[in-house]
Amino acid sequence: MKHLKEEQLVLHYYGEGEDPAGITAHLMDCEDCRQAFARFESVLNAVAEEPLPERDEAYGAEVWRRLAPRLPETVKPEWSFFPRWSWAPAMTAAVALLVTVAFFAGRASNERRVPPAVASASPAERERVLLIAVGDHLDRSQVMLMEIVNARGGRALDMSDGRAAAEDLLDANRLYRQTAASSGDETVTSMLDELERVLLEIAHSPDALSRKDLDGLRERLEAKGILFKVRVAGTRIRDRERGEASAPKNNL
Amino acid sequence: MEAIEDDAAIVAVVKAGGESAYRTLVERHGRNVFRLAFRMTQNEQDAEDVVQETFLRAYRNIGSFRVESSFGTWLYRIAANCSLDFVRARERRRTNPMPETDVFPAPHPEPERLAYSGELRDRIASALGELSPMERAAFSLRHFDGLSIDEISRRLGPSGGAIKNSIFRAATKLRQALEPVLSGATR
Ligand SMILES: [Zn+2]
Repeated sequence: MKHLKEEQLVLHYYGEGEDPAGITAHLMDCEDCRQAFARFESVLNAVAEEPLPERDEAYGAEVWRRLAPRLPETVKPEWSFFPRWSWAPAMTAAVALLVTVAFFAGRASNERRVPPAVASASPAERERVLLIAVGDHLDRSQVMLMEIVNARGGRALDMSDGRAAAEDLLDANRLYRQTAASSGDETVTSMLDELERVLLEIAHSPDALSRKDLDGLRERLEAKGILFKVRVAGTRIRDRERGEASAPKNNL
Repeated sequence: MEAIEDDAAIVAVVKAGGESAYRTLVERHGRNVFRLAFRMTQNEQDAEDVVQETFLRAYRNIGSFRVESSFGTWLYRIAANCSLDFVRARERRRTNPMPETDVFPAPHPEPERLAYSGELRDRIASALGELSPMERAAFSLRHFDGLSIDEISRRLGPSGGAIKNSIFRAATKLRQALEPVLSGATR
């Protein structure tokens, strides 16, 4: 009879061995292997406590405190309150064009006003571009809202960049809301509707928000749960976008 | 599962340029990264440095993270590589590097002088300390955390076969170091 190798015994102890039933059967029959297994077992059972230095709940925050000052220099040339989106206007324009295309395609399909490349895009392709654009719009909105919610320090917050960003987002948001409404997607429409009101408030905020104004805005954002809704909608749209790539589905 | 999806959403925001979103990920995974780093480096200060370096590397490379995979798994892989880099650098700094195949040098204490629990705990700590970083990490993730070989392989990098090997070598070394202590103490 061929005895079990030590490696088999150790893996068997952890329930990771191949042919566990065969090993169990051999251990029942073979005294030598049973003893060898018992030796491993008693040692491994004795190793019950791991010597590890304690780190409490607050540890993650401590790691962040040390890490945060090192982050911007590694990635960004300078700290920017709101990120720049150089390609975002182009994307918005592309979607505007698609909406126009859809409009003309429905109303006057034989007019030759639309660029052939876009006109020849299939409904599925058009929908995919829309999904990507809306998903991206939600990402950008989320980033901006998070910057406001997470703004720290005791000083007033300079809103000039934030206002400009909110205005850009507002334009895009209106377009997507209308598109979603016309394709009958109520969930996305109502979420974008809510987001629009928040963006409007930020776009019309003063140059600098005092600590108190900022806290007020933050409270309103949190009360509406808008950040959460935007995040959930963004994740859903990303999921749909992934599904769309393989199998075209229903509308936006 | 919820945490994984949630991580993915946050990673998407970080990718889009939301640095402060990264804070959530650091706070969520900091302790686990520290545990892995300590297991591999066996040194508290080195482990702290590995934690910082891991989150820096992950941040720089977040563009290459695919949302379909688990952020935690991706992060631990970085932490494991980072820990190995630290250990290698530390070994290089030593004038007298440790031999590759080391037999346990610790002398066996007299059974009657053995205060079971305290002495055994010290013995376990020093036996674990004698393992290679990969052996210790693979063994700890299997033995203390109960992760499967597959999951350990995903987190640490080496193949399932290599991880099995590390666990087997760790178990053998622990047996060599602890068996005399155990049989002495139970007498
Ligand atoms: Zn046998």
